[in-house]
Amino acid sequence: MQYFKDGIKTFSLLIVSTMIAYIYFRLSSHTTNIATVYILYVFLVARLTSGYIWCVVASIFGMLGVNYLFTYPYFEFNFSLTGYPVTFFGMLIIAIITSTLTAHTKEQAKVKAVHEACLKELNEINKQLIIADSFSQIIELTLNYIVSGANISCIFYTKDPIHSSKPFSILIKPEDEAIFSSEYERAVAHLAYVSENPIGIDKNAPDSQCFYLPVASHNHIWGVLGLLASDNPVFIKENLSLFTLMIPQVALAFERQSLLDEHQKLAVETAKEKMRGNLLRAVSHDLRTPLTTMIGSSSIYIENNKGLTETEKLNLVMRIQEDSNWLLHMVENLLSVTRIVQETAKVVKRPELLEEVISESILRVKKRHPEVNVDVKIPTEVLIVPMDATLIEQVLINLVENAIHHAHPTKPIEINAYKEKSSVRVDVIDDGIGIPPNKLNSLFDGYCPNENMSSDTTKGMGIGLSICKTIISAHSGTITVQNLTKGAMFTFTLPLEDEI
Amino acid sequence: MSTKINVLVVEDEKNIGNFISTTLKNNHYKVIECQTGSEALSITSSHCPDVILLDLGLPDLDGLTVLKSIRNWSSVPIIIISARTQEHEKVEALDLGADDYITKPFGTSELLARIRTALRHSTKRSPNHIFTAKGLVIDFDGRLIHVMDKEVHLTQIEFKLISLLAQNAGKVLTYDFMITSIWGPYADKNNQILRVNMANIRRKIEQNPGDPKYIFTEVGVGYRMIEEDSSL
Repeated sequence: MQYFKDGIKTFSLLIVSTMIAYIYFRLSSHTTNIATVYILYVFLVARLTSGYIWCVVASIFGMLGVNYLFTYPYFEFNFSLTGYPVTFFGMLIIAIITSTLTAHTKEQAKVKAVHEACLKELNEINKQLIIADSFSQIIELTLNYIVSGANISCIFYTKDPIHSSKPFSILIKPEDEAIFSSEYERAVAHLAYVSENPIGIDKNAPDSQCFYLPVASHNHIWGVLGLLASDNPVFIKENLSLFTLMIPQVALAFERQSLLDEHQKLAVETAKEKMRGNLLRAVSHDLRTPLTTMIGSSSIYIENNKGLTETEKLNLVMRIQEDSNWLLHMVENLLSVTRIVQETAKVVKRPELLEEVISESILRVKKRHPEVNVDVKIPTEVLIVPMDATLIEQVLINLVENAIHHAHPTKPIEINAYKEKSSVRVDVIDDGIGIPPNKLNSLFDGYCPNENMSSDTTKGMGIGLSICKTIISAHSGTITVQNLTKGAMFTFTLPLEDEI
Repeated sequence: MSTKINVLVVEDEKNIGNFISTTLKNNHYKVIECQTGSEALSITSSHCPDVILLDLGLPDLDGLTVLKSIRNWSSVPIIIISARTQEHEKVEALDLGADDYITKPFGTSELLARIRTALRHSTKRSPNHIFTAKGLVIDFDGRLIHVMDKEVHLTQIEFKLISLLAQNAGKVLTYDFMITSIWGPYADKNNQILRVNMANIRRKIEQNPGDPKYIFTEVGVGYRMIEEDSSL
């Protein structure tokens, strides 16, 4: 096609230049500048076509044209003119030199353009590597870059290729998979991994069909990049320098990512440690008090058995029962936390009817406090919410018992459930004494450092509320508290759709 | 005075066993105590107790294994004693043929009520009768339901569900058991449809569906209908 186009160009230029030469000849009847016109013609052909052939053809045309049209006898070839061979060779040499020169310039321009494009791409990938925020993303970027540039299959081993079972790869043809996973290729990749030197088809491993580039920085090897070279061997050769530029960037990105991950892990660990510490402090505080009562009361009962009246005995046992119930409540709370998966701080959710969970939690509160009145308002629509029912029950029990113990309500405690856009909201409302404003912010944090409260610090809800918060957070919900004109309102929400 | 009812208590924790047998003896039951699963099996075959209280965590055998081997030859009422957090264990025990379960820690009144229910179930009642409990009246033959003397209209499925619960009043029915009974053995084990039907029943028969009087939920396990009024 290209060949054809070049031919058309050559001929049309021939016609144009012949016309110009003819007009000039008719006007001035000089022949001296005719040759100049044809040299210009040869030069233009060299510039506009590729290769030497058309250029040479043009110079022959030019020469014949001069001979045929503009030398005596006109419209006839006469090769016996004096000096003609000199003109002929002169023009031929000019043609060849010109076309070589222009071809060279064109070639250089092309190479330059390719390099520029590569550099631009390198720049682009660098930019993306900087924003990448995971190892897999870095690998994906690298592989995509190679595939878009060379259209060859490539693979990335993050571990020693001999053992690595699941490398990242992008395959142009599905059968390339077999090549990469063959024992020999893996062994070559392994060699690159261990030696941290590029190895492959043209380098130390002539039988290999691939080329392996280790990605390493600061004595740490991050992985091996494998390129299937047999499909496009020229590419590897031409772009080796580019790869050697790119690989350190990838290594750097890996290093940065690993540092970042480590930092994040440390931060999470610290937060966990802090939470554990808080919980432990709250536990020892909240558990010791009822245990003291129980041990003390039972000792009195045993030691002074004879000296006590029946009413006194009954009182002691009742106090033991009350405090052991409280202990049970604490232990259940603590146990519930173990249902939250440690690593992800998430729970296993199952669709549950919200009203059933509410009603069962009220039932369980009533077991312990038969005198309590709770008003429940649920929407007529059946609400099915993904949750761990045991845990949400615990939250409701904690909130209701909290109201019973601390708020000293006069009217029944209200539980209202609503459906919101993509979540459900549950309000637990009492008309009691409300929350002291200075505690509103730290209510869910667990341990309260300033213990200047009255006698019912024994049954401080420190653990209870912080566990509510832990449970609701594990469900990706929110829990808040606010004071009403009389009393307080605890509100928690649960998302209706399970996040992926 | 009639002969005392025999209760076998299988519990390896001495203090709990002690507390249970004291309670039962004070309420005129005859108690046999044992600590291991193998003992439980041999006593069950030699003494033929009227009801068995079985702890799931035993030192020698798994409580579920004991349950299975007793169920091979006997239909004696068995009440499981279990810890609170293990719903799947409760469901498994119920599906293996346990009559009921009671969750640690429990009070004496709760324990006695469960034993009474289990005993009542072992004496089969005639199918043609009318169920009455706290103002809820179910006429199985006439397919009629009244709440506080007002008639309530239920769909076919809803009536089947409430009949199933009423016929097993006081007993926990697991989700799987209910689905298999109503929709057949090949029904989808996803219990969503059961839940929605139950919610609809509640909206029809309960004054406050959030604080039910007749049908209780055992979260993660199943449903339990209130006991029938004892006058009948």
